Amino acid sequence: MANGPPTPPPTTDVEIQDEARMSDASALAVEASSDPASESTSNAAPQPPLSPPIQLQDPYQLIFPRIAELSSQKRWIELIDIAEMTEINASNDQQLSRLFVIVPLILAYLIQNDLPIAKLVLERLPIDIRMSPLISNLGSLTKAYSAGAYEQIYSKANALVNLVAQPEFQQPELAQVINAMVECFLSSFRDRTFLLLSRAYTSMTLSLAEMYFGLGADELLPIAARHGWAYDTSTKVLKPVPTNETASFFPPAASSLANFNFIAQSVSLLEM
Amino acid sequence: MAPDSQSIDGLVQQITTSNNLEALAHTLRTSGTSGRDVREFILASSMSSGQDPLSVLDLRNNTLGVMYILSARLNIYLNAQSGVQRPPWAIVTQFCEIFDPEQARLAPERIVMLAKSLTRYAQEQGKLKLAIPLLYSLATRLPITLSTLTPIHHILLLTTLQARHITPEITRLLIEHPIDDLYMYSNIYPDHNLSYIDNLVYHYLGGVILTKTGNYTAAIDYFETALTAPSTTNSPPAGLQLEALKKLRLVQCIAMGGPQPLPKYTSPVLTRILKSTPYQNLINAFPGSLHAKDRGEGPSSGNNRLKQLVSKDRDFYASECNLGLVELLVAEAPKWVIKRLTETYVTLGLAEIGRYVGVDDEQQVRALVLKMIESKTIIATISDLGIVTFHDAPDTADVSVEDIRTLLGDLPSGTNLTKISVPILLEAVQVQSTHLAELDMEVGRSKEFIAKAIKTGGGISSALFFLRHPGIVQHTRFRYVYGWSRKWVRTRWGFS
Repeated sequence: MANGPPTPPPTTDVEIQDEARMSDASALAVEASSDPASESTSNAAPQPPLSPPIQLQDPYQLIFPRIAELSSQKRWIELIDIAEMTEINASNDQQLSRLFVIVPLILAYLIQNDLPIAKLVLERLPIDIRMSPLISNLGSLTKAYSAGAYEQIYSKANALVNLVAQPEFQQPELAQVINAMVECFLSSFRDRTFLLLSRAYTSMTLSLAEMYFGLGADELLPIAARHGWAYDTSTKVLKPVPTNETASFFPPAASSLANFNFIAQSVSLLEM
Repeated sequence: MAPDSQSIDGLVQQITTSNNLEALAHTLRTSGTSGRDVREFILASSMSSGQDPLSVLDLRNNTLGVMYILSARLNIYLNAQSGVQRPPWAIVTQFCEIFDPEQARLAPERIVMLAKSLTRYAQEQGKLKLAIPLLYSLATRLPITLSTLTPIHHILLLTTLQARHITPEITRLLIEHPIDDLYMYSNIYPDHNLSYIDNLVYHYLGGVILTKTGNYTAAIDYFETALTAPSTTNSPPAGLQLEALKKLRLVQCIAMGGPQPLPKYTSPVLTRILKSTPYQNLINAFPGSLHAKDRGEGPSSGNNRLKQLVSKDRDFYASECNLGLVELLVAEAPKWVIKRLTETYVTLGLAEIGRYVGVDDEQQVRALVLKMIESKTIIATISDLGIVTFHDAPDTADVSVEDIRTLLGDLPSGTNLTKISVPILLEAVQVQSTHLAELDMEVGRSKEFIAKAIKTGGGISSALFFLRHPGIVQHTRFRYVYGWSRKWVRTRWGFS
């Protein structure tokens, strides 16, 4: 590691911005949580800000690099924790940069299949943030997910990806994170759907399967074949094979002594 | 040494130099010759050098002293505002995160005072949600176990709901640590003690939060606890308990298909009052309820009746803040119609099911059935021709404990019992019995129980009789504890 090539100096605008944000983030990460609270309340206790006020007042942008990092490592639970803490401690929750935190938070909840809390997060947003195209897209995705409307889920997810791909969308880092998370969501969602369908269907038509997975036949059939689903080309019918889901029941193999103790105890109680 | 407890300098010196925490606690607590209010003022003042005493003391090692000073200052600042310097919020935050629980337990009422004043302060600043992590930290670190109820707990839940900021952390706390102990202490400020209402409010709000996050089984347990909390004899049940009963019934319909029998120690007054409200008709019209009158007639009329009942009393439900739950109930009703169909049919077409449920669109019916299979409410398979086949529960169940509840639902008397594998049940029963035995031992040891047993049974021998036969707890006040412990055990079983 010590002998690796040195990092090239930041050249493009984006890199310069990132660099500035990174160094400030590390210096101010500790102060960010307490300062937004104290700057609005302290008049007696002098706490001089250490850097230009713009960054002090935007904890959302400060925490975003960390969120992006956690998202690339797929550490959703930590991402959720950090995002929720930022949400609580931020003093001004009306500003649009809140989207930097809210959108990954909701997507993380969806990936974890924690639907009710995702809906609660959407409900607690102020009106003008809710009206933003990003949130209204995310909202309709969540709604489709909770209704179990499979076609809509895939179309809404695609709409979201298309939205951030537009040139008018100014935040490339956020777009990157959104793309990655939507992909994760779709893949974990397809996995869950797969398990469910294996359990629920004895046979289904190909068109139905295409609807459930949001994939065309040529992409779907190899995956299905890999899992042992039989396909009848003449009638275009797939036969799912029930997969063994990991049993939530762990046989009490190693607890024989505990069992013995328990039985002996209950017998002695009976004797009394 | 001549301890000078009449000035802040003297107090600070004592705090920093004292080796004996108990003595220090005693000094701080007794206001001596000056009155209690004067002592509060002294605690809230700055030192003679003009320095802030909080900058001199260490937040963790001098927790006891800092506790007194912080709570006094915030309190006086909020009430009197007479030149008292408000402690900086950063210090309050830091204190709540790192305070030493052992020291704090020497004067718990100050922590409660601190919790109440910081919540009030946050609210007046318009930043209520800032108080949530602080309250969480105080409430979870002050008592010895996480399942002990303090006066701070209900403030935490109330703040969470008011700030509309429900986090997975709070939900985890509610689910994994149901209350089985109370944090009682004697102190000179009676309004900072744990009161009966605190318990009610905590469990009621806990149920509300859990309903919002979709954890219906846990919510049901919390509402039941609020509902069955014993009051002193001859006093009527609290209004909050009636609200808990209403919500309990609604959630039982949504999650289990119909009202379940209440515990035997519920106050009959509550059920009587509920019968006279529109809720009773609504619940009776619900498909899973035993009273559903449409069992014989055209089934989809039942759904229409439900919608009619709701639209008739819409304003009433809105005024009681239950409209959301009621509408959810109507939306979930078709599922329980389908569940009842499984008792009669082995196979059924999707179109037929649609007819029963009152939904024309086959895609919607398909989605509905799929959702029920996903949540394991029914066990069924669908064929490509749109025929649904209902199955019995498999012999070797890798059925988790959660699923047992929904599958069993309301067990009809005697009819086909679902086959669940024996090892699972055995393990669950074992865990339950050990918990129950522990609680019985605890109850039997308590002084009050022995005193009562001697009084009622007559003589020491009967007290010993009760001790040696744990589980036979009759006609004492601890009927409540026993039932409560049974419920707690059920909750543990459900979520361990």
